[in-house]
Amino acid sequence: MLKALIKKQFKECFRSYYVNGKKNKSRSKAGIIGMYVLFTLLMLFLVAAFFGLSFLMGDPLFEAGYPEMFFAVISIISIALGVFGSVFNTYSALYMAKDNEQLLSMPIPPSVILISRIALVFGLSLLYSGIVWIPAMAYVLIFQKLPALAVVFGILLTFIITLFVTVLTCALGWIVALIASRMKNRSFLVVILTLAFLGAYYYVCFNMSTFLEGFVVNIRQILDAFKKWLGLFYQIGLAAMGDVRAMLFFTGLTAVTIVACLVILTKTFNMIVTRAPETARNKGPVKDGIARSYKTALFMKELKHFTSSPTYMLNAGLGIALLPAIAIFALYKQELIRDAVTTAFIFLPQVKQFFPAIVFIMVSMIGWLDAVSTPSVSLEGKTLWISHVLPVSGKDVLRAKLKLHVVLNLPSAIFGAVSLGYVFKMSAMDILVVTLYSCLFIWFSGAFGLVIGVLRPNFTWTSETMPIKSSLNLVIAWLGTLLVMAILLGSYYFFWEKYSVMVHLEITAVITAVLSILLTRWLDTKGAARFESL
Amino acid sequence: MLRIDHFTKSYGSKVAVDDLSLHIQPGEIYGFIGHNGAGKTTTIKSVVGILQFDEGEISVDGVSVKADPIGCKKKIAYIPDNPDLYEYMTGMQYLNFVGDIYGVSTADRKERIHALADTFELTGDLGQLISAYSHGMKQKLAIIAAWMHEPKLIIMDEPFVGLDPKASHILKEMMREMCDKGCAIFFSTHVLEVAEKLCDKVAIIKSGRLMRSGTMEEVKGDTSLESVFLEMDELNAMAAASKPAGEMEG
Repeated sequence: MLKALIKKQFKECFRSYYVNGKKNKSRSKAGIIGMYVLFTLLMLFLVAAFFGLSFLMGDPLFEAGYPEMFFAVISIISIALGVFGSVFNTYSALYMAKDNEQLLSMPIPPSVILISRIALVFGLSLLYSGIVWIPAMAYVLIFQKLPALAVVFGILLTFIITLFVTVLTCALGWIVALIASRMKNRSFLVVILTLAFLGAYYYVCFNMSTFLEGFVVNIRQILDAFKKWLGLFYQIGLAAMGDVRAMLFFTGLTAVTIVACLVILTKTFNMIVTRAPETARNKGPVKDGIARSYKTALFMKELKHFTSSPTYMLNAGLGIALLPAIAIFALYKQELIRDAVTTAFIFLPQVKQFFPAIVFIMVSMIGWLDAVSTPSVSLEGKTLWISHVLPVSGKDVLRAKLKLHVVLNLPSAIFGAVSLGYVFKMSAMDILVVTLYSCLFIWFSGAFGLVIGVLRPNFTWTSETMPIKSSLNLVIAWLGTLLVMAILLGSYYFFWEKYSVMVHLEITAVITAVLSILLTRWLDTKGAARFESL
Repeated sequence: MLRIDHFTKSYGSKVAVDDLSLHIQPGEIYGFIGHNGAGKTTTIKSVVGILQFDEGEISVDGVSVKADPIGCKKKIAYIPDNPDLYEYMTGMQYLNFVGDIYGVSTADRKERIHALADTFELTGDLGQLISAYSHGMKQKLAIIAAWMHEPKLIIMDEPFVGLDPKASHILKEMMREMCDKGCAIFFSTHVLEVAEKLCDKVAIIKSGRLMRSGTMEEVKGDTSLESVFLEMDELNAMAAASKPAGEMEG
């Protein structure tokens, strides 16, 4: 029973690898292999990056005689990345699946349903934690000498750390679910809680860099601080060095938390998934509506969908909150930001003239993460019939989706571009150009993502997480937009002796506008016809 | 009001509906009967614009579904067999959304929503998210949304499934009232007793082909609709059994 459920969970997760969402048909063997090759290449890239990090960090620490500190820091990064990577999915994966009632009606104990879903969280956690821990182990095996027991413990720790991450993310998902089921505006609550978690995460990361800077110099004090404040990670570090006591401690702690987590989650599972939220039980008189145009109605429908789904908001709208936060931070720490950017781009001649391009990249890259439009077609799911039977054209429906992407991202992009422009002491005209270009790029990325969404829809999901996060469409949209940006800006390499950065930005802004018009034109005509035939 | 002429729809090599023709006049309640998989839902989905079809012509009040789908849809209301509605909206938000799309004025929608919701005893639930609705409540909401913009043609796929007896009775009365005002109703059902009592005309479809159609008297004569349906089924089974093996395979 459990095996069948776990198989179903993973099948859903990896559905896009086996099924062509565009045709809703199974992929050919070559297609499946191609998907796995792409996935492997992405993983190899990340593994190589963390191998490099291990190399840079490991040598001084091993030479200074503090190998356990190396493993302690790696375990922090591994756990942080594991939690960060899985936390967005956990709440919806554990509690928001569409087959909740179907499974509960079957003779399956809730604990089995829960374990099958936790298995998926474990899989994702392994992926995120593993890309840090496994290259670190590889580095140690290749370049350092460790006792045999340390190697065995190191391999075992890959799984024990993953289990620990799984417990942490499940606990967070459970807290969010528990509070959300008792709150009225639960979507926003989930978003606020997650953003608070993210804020804390970034705060730790920010301080961590300061912490790492003086690592080797103040190693003794840091070691003491680790033992005092971050004892758990220090124990992991000792365990990875072959310390049996530390290994037993961390394994025992993980086992106890797993058992406690399973008991609590199982006991509350039925209550959480079957309890209607406060808004759902809102009986009594309701306000009558006021007539609006059908275009406004379509737009408001898209907005309502976005604001009602924490998964959608967090995965496709993080930049909306992140960009103003970064801009405010930059305004607060102007000199620090200017110095940091000047140092980072020291290889550029006359770095100041590149500031407008750097501001544009910063704004666009953060906005680029907001793939609001990409999953919006697939998100129609089983309600697609409504768009088809209402007297509205496919063009109107797609325009509403594109409008949502632009309207949500535009204010933060404008604020971000103007604030960062001010921080980098750009002229008013340059700020205006960069702001306009950033707005154009948002239009482009929205239209491009929507084109991908129309070409490769998937309406057969059981959890919104699938189209919002676990879809190849997002990868294509992100990589495609990134490629276009790289080509447009990178082409300055050939012209930098002929004209200024600003002129190049103006030219590429015009090109972006033309591309956006072409994509929107396609959406209005062929895209609309395709949407109507879905 | 609804003309279906030589309509054919295939899924790949499988012909789901083959050369179907039906004419429905204003004021008529037209029942559409057939086995599971007979082609009822395919026909209905093609009429309302969900499915695009290969051959034939469908028009509503003189407007072609193919040539002017939007114009056609403005005259239609559709209630599916399984009303998957926007679960992130409350009942009231959904009704207002539909009202906005069909251009129903603020005053009209207020009056109609309250009247219809009171009739179906759904007023107190309109502030709830649709995700908390039962199947029957969703069905009632879909009916209110359909009636709200006063369409000329109402198309329903198994409309009585999930409704409680009182709501079923109300719906039947509303269907008759609507047709008395000149609207036409085309609906599929498996409940032959309902079709027999409610419909002015009926069509029986089997394996994508129209077997019989006409007024209730023309179709059933002195017997019941159930007897006609079962008799026809038996005759078809016998005809299929008497065919040579090679012919059957072909």
